[in-house]
Amino acid sequence: MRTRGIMYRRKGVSTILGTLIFIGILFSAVIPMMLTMKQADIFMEQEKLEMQRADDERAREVIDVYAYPEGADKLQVKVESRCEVPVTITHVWINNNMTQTSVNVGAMYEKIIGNYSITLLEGVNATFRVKVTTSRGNVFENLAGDVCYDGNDWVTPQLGIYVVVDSEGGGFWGFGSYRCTVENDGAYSETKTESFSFGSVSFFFDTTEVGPDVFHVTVEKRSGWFWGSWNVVYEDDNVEISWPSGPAIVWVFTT
Amino acid sequence: MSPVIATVILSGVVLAVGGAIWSYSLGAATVTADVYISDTMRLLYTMQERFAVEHVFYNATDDVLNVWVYNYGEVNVTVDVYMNSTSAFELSDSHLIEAHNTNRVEFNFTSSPLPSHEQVAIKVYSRRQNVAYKRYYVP
Repeated sequence: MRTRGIMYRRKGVSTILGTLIFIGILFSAVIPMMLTMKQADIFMEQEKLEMQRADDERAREVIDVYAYPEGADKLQVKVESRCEVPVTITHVWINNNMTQTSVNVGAMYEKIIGNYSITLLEGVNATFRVKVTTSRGNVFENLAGDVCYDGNDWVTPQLGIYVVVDSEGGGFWGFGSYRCTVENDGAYSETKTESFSFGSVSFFFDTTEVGPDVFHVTVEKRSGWFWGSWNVVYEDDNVEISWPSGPAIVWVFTT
Repeated sequence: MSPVIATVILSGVVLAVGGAIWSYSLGAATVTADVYISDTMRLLYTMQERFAVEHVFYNATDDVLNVWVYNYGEVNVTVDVYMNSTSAFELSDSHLIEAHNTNRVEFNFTSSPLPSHEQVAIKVYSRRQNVAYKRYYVP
């Protein structure tokens, strides 16, 4: 009986060894491999989220660029942020020449990026197309278009005020009418109306004949049909066109 | 053969075969994990790649089309730049652009200059199969 018991116990040795080897393989090879793979997956997911966030921020990036003459041989470039994310300007383009820079513009903040030298020749027409590139890869052009020199002086085809009302209509009927008035001290007064608008509306006021001046801008809104009353939604007494030492076309944004 | 010797032999065989399997498993698991990480990193770089055509300019004086490609991503990019128009098709390949840098790519049209008002399609393909486009009109 004793001999048989010992024999049975010895038979179990190889089974125990096999089990130990199996557990050894599991813990030393399979589990580390799975943990490594899992770690790589987590890293991938983190980066995916990071890139989605970066793309989202890129889509949110909105800036207004203004370029205008500064003295006889320089262009001044100003940037106004209209977004909730900080923006870094990395390149400034004047025609086909790129200047590298690194200027941070805070959310809803405005900043003069700098003065950039240009070459003007007496009696020779010149046009300057200005744009800036951000670190997120967006390119924004000068809102007022090209800056022009007629060989003698800076010229602009037009002076004006561009009013953009960013709205979703609103009110009980889901639409609204907008009335926009631009005036200065007596020399200029113009009112434009956009009726039954379900979305954003914009008005352009050509003030070329008046020349550079300070204007009063009023935007009124009436919700629904004709019997509603006009309510002032935006008013600014100090919208200044200071061409050529400022933008030829000034943009006004409201909601 | 005594039961003791049989058990010793059997244990030896189990240890030898088990050791071999263990060794093979370790190697296989290491290789599999390395390949998986390598594939994941490759996919990650593809995902991280960001570039755009920043500026295009056709210099009519020397008949050269200049294309500036901006790499605003976190990884270096190797790109092939194609230009298509009704009168020409050109490829300029293997341009390495480091992260946060802009490279200028030139197409020379000295032999057959591009006509004015020609519409040119610029396509930039990265070696990781990402694409950026831009349309340009010759002034």
